[in-house]
Amino acid sequence: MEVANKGKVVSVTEAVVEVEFMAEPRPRLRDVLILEKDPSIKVQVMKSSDNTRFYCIGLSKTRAIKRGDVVVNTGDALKIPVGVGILGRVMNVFGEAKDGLGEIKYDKLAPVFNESPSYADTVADLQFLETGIKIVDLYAPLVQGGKVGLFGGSGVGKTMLLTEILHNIINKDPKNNVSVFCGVGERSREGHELFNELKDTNVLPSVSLVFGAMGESPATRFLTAFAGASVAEYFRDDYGKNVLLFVDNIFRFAQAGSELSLLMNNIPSEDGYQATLNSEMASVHERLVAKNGRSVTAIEAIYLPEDDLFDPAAQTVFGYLDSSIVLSRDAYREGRLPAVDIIQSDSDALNPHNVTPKHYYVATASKSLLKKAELLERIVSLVGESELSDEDRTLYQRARKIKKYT
Amino acid sequence: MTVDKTIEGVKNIMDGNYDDVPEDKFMNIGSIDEINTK
Repeated sequence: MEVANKGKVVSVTEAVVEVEFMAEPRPRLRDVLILEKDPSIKVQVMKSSDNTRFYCIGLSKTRAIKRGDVVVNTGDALKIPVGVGILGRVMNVFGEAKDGLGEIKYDKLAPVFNESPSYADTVADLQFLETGIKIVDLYAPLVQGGKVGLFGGSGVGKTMLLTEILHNIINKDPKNNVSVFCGVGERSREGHELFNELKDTNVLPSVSLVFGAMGESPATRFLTAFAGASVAEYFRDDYGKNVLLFVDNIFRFAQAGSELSLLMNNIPSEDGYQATLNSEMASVHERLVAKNGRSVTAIEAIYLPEDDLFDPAAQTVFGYLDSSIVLSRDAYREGRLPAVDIIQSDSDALNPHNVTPKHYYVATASKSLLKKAELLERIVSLVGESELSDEDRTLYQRARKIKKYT
Repeated sequence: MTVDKTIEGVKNIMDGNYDDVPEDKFMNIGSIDEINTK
């Protein structure tokens, strides 16, 4: 006999658990259910599969869950600890400390899923944010309160550039800024290295880190991006600071969502991703905006499978970005670091209103010169530089110097 | 490295002020002035 807020496990497929609630009240979407025999095991309702059954994602290892186990509805969604005490700490999406420094002290629990601010509260003011990295500042300037994407295939230096930007801007106006680093689906080694680097350079006290590494369940990886947004919102709204949110890597969020979608028996879209990719991406990005005079500046690494800029996950992110920095394998092979593809990189802030007229002129004129040199590259590779006209050779050589200088 | 210095450097290269300098000298430098110290 079922009791009101109890159901039972019908099936377990990797990270997805199907439960049945025969009696009312049935759980709402995003309610957290706990296993009666072990309350530390939690699942979250994601979708109803029929009138009485629900697909849930495992928030902890699902190996201990068996068919027939009883689950209890907590009636509440997943929440993450927030407060001044999380600065300088590393935690996972459940608020568990991952730095070995004891329990996390927090002021309150914030819901991991949240609504985006209304249009009236949102502020759109593009203000140039200097990073000190020549190629970024000149061709794809960052904006305070904007979003920047670092696109690239594996091993072209996305994490390296993200970390460099973090180091260069984290100490700007420490009175009004805090930073949040959200590690989604990347190697735990990288998280460890970053933590030690931040500690060694004494910037750790103004950074809060939320990690859901590659080895975690897809549910944990999926939720980590939302948790990062919740922490950023807390520092913006309750703590009254400008927030720099670093996400490495937002592609892994799309990938985790795709894994979960398939496990929940959803039919994928034609390109292989989940049909809900757009709305999932929107539900994170729409929250990362400037509100009531305080901003969230998001800097996101985006992995490109097979170096394909037209990958649907990457294309979904494009629409939210103010600046896109594309890293290329060719530039990396030439030994140029950061290996930025100048022609493909761009920024909304690159206009005479947000940057100086001289900056705008030099960036656009040099880009045009680089584009012409790119066309000459084919001739050079076939017959050599000596076959170019004097004018073309000068242009070609200047373009090479600009690439090496920036 | 300030953006103004970067702009100055790129503009000078475009204007041909460094046409005689070998391109390897532009690698791994900060300000364009560092070319003279390489």
